[in-house]
Amino acid sequence: MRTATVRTWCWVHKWTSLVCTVFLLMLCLTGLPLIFHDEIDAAFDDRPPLAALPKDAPDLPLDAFVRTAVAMYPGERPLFMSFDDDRPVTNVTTAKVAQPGRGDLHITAIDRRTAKPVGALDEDAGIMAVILRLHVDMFAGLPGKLFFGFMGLLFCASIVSGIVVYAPFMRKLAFGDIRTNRSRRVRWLDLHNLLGIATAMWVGVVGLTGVVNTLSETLTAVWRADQLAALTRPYEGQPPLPVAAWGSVDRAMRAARAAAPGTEPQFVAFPGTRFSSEHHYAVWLKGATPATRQLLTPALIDARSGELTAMRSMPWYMLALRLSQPLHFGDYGAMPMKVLWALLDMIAIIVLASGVYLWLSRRKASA
Amino acid sequence: MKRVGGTFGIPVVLAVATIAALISGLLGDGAVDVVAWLGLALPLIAIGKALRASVYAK
Repeated sequence: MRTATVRTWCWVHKWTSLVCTVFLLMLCLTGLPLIFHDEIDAAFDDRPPLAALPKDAPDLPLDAFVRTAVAMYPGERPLFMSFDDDRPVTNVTTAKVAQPGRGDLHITAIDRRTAKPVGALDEDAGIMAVILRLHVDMFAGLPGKLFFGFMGLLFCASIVSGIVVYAPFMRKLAFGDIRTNRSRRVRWLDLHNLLGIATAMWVGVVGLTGVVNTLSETLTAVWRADQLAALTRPYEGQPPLPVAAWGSVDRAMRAARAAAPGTEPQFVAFPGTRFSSEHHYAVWLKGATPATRQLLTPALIDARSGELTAMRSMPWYMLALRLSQPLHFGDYGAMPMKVLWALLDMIAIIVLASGVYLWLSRRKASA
Repeated sequence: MKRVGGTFGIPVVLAVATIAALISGLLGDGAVDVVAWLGLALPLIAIGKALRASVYAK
């Protein structure tokens, strides 16, 4: 590589890194406890216990859960219904409007066997919720998220440029050489290079999927305007279906499952919400095998008649968004993977911090 | 350590192991999870070996 080219890449590596490092350090630090949020949540589980019922107690109809939730918050409409895996509980989200702002909604956990509420879910309470919001948007909402997305892009540029400048720096060195007989700065440079290059792929994947995750609202809005509008073309121009005209959720669920045997419902989006049209229950179905679990297919059921209007797999950008979640969280390979994720995250912290140190100590080195 | 495969020999192996691990973990549970753990552990093992070698080279 020519000296001028190397210098340009070094410049790119220096500045893309410097701009995003503070935020990336914060993201790595808050990300560390989030890797184990399932275990932490379980350890501090303060959910009220469920009523003791015989093991084979049947589940009540879904419509009963909707009635329970709406009765809790009169004047609100149901938005979403989701299903707990670890206990017989269905969660129903309600709010005054179909697309409420943050904090303007209620999530009621309902016992599937009694249709009685077992408590409200407050997703904004507790230290883990604070850490999560720092990690997602720094309490700044969508602008905060998109800002992180931009920082993530700079971070990706810093990784690529870091790989490029690794070559000239290592011309006379073998992989992993730490020149222990040289100055402290040289030792840290060698360590920075070793840790950075060995974990480059992991950091790149977690960084890039983090960027994709910041686009979740944007991509969902694109999907709603593009695919959903095409699927519900016959309903175009009709006024939104009033809540009073909505039919049975159970019937919609039966129609959806009949249309896609071998799938499990992930959640139901009610008419008007971000994940459905103005006239449909969208039953989001997931595959029943590990390989297809991440693939969601929405079945659109006419909310008035309970009949299937359309069902189509998600487009590539929604699939990318969906796959970006496990690849960012590291929660799909049991505990050993979480531990490895945490170790790799700590190495990323060392790479970021040593990068700052190398920049701060540059004068001494050149003097 | 020798310059096995040039500057990028070992880094490419580690990168391929990492990406194979990340994808295989998505494909299933059980045996493929073990593949994922091994692939993700490889960069950490390489770092550990390199650091050990540097300490002993003193």
